[in-house]
Amino acid sequence: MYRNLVKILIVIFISIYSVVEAKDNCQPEFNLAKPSLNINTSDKEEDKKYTFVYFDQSLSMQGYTKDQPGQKNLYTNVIDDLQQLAENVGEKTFYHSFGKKIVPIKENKISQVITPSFYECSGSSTDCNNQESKIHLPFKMAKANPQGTYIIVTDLFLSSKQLVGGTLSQLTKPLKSILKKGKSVGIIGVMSSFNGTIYDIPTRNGGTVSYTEAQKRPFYIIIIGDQKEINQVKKNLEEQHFNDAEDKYKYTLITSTPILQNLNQKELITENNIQKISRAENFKFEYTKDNLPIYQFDTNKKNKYKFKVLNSEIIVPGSTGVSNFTIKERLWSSKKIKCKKINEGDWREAKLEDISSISQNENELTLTLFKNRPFAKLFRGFRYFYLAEVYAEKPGNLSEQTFEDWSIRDSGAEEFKEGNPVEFKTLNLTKIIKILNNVANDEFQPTLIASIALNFNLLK
Amino acid sequence: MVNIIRSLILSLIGLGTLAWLSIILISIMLVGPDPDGALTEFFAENIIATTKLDELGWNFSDLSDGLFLLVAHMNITLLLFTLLMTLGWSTWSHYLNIDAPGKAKIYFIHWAVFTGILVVILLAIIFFFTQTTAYEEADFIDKSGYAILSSSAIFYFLMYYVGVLLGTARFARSSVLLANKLPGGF
Repeated sequence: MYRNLVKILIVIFISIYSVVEAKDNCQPEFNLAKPSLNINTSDKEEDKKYTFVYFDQSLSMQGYTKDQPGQKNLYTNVIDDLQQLAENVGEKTFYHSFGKKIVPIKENKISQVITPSFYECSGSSTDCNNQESKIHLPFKMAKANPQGTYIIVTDLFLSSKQLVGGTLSQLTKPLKSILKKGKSVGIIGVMSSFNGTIYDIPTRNGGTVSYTEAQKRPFYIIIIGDQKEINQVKKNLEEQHFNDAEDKYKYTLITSTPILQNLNQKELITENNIQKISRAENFKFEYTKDNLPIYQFDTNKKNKYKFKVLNSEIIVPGSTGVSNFTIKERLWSSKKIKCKKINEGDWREAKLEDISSISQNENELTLTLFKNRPFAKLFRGFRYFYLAEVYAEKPGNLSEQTFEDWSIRDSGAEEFKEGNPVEFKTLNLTKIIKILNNVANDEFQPTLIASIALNFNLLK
Repeated sequence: MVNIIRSLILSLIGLGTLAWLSIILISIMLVGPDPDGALTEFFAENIIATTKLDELGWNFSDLSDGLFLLVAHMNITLLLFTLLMTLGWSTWSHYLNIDAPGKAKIYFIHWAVFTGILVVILLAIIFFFTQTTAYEEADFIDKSGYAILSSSAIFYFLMYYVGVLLGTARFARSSVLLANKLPGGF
């Protein structure tokens, strides 16, 4: 009886002690923003996906299929392998050509896409599918069935007339719908040999001319689907075809979610993200149940800390990137500095909004902690709790810059042609990318990238 | 010896003319002034960085106790040093070697140096309490507050001056500024 009583007393004592210890959380009460990014997108549908491949059948494409002496023909090699890649991406692949309309390609005719005859038409020009390329048609198909993966092979040679008014909205409306459904558009530009005629080059007086002297010209593979599949296709092409240093190719990803991941979800933030902080007195680093990393330490008024994250950890490779970041920050202080002595009511929230600053260079994102309100301007002898939530606020325009040197505007096309260029540029390429980006940007939502907390005593 | 004791008593009387103010202030500070009183209001408006405190979500009344204690300790130290220096000079003045007419004036230099040291010590004490990390509450004092608190050195200098004016040995009065103008009865 006596022993049991002692056991019960010990259990009660331990329970009470545990409760007291549990209350020692040393932080004020606050609601943490939940990440808006869903990393695991549509994996469950993976096995059921179909792939649709669309080949631009316009006559300007024919030049890619003919070898040009002294120049490497990447078109025939890449397109040959693309069929294999497409079949790896989805369960079943459907092939089509597009020009004035979409026409299915029979299986036994698929190999012809890398031959000149595929782009020829013996009938009258009105019946032929090689007189124009209505690129919005595959986009419309993608809108109708967003579960599939769409691969479009084209020279993307679009005149300004095709990029205004109703013709433009035929392209942007389905794109908007595609992006809204969480899909992305990857554009791989490949510089290949060219031996043919480039049609419809606009002149200053409003007409068009042709050009036959080009030996090289880029073609484009546009992939509509999940980022994962787009990256798979890109990676395979890189490994198999773009091995030589002289192989020129460019890549961009049009997406409404250029953010790769929320760093808190997988607890990717470590003590090393803030340099030298681990050397601070009484340093402790831990995650809360809500995946919030807390840096606990003692500091003096002179110390300065920077939280750094690599761009590659947060930005989708090849995407527009992010041009503007914002920080939502809150600061509390308590006159009692020992965690065990702090009660909930001891925390006072500061009325400060602009405490830290954020900047980005080509490699990393830097949050300069307490830059605008340095420790020197805080009071000693307090415990502070600082919460920073970093949001991607506005998409960037990196992809436009990527393709800039392969693009020529309508107004400069004739002059460019008169220079007898060997390497011919793509008409209005940056304009097209800009239009696609604008659509993506409209769909962009501010995204929480990371949340961190500093819990520190400000000493002498 | 009688003369020295007489000098010390006169010095204490001189000090007392102003020291009572300091003692009352110290007492109020140690007890803790009325939260709604004029002194608290004066501190809130002139001594502390109210805006900074407000931005951090605090009121002066939340933190005033520590600051009043700081000011009390500072004034006690200033008062003690002033007392010590005043009585020190009054005693020392009796040991100055004045054996010829007009020689006392030479000791004005000694008095000036002694007084200069006192002023430096007073300012150093104020600096120690308000600008170093000795007291955490010193952080609440802003620049204008520091200027106001520094000006209390003038008050303690005056206290010292009145003390030495009355307490300096009669034969050495010429060494203290304007002391020889005192009536002969002193």
